[in-house]
Amino acid sequence: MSVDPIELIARDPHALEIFYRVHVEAIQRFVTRRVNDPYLAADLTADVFLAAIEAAPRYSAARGNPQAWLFGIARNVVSAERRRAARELRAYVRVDGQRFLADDDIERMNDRIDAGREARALYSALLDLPKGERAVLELVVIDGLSVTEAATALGLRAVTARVRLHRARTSMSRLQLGTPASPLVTPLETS
Amino acid sequence: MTSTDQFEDRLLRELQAVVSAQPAAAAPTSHRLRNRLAVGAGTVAAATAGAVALTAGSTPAYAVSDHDGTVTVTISSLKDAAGLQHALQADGVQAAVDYTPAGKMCREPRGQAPGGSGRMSGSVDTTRGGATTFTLTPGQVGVDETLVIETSVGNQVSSIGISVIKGAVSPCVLVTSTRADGGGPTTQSGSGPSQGTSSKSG
Repeated sequence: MSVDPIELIARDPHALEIFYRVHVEAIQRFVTRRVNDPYLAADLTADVFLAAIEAAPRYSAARGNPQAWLFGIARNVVSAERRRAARELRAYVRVDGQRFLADDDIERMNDRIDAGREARALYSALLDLPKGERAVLELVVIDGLSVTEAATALGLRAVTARVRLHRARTSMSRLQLGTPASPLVTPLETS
Repeated sequence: MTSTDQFEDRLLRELQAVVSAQPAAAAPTSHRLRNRLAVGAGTVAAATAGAVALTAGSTPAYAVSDHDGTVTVTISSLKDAAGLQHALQADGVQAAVDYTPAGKMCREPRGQAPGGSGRMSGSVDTTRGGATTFTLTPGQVGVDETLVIETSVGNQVSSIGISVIKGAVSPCVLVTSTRADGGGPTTQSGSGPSQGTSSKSG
């Protein structure tokens, strides 16, 4: 039986590099659609890949799209950081991503942060939604995943994701946040 | 770090080092790496005891439990460093615990790292609730060694550093954290090291 390359990233530095190079830019964009601090973005990027390395042995190709899988992990990492910040509970150990940031890296991270401004505003608006409803809508409207991909990312059945997306849109209009006309709002990345 | 190198390359190397469980080439603070708790092998036998310490509030700030000499430490909030230090010492683990205020860290080095032989790895995990937990097997902190737990709080983020020092541990002298000051333009404070001490081992 062949081993999925994703499973290998937990123990094979070469497999890790291939995976990392494919996804690192997308993850930095994902993170900077949610946070506006370059140092924090660097740490969270490190955290996402660490979490992926830890989760890789449990990866199943049946779950499909590796990027959707990774986005699901990234969402958990960023949410966890937000919860920690809210409770001022910061007791945990991590790779010190920010210590790898040089001046030009910060500049590039700030470019991503600029590009993510609109997305971050939307992300903040979504935080008012009930938790269960928010996840699907977040991945769909902030990160541009299809409903199926969002379901993959969240470990949901597609039909469940669809129901939650519908509920979230209803909640959004109730909260007068404006209702996205289609699951896919116009692409948020312009550059 | 070379000039052609970017953040992404440096982070990749660090992640690869984690995967191959080898020290990264340029990792001055590698003891802070998640899942790579550097501890020295020694010969202390921790007493069999169970101690769960509660602080004010609903959630204990820390817990120390001992099962046949294997000590599990859980830190759920950065409060009551002295209490954790005492709980560890009551369990036979010489310890120095310092939680530093934001932007500060303990001046390094705190003492001498254990000698080359007998280094081994444990693991540090984060629980669902955001607590940090790690386990010390009997002898991981030797008779003349001290488990040093200290925080490093940077710009919105922090880490817990866990290391072992052989012999005397110097008290924590607070200095401006270098973690968020990596030469970036957003450095907030350029002031020199400020003095201050918190609890020390003893």
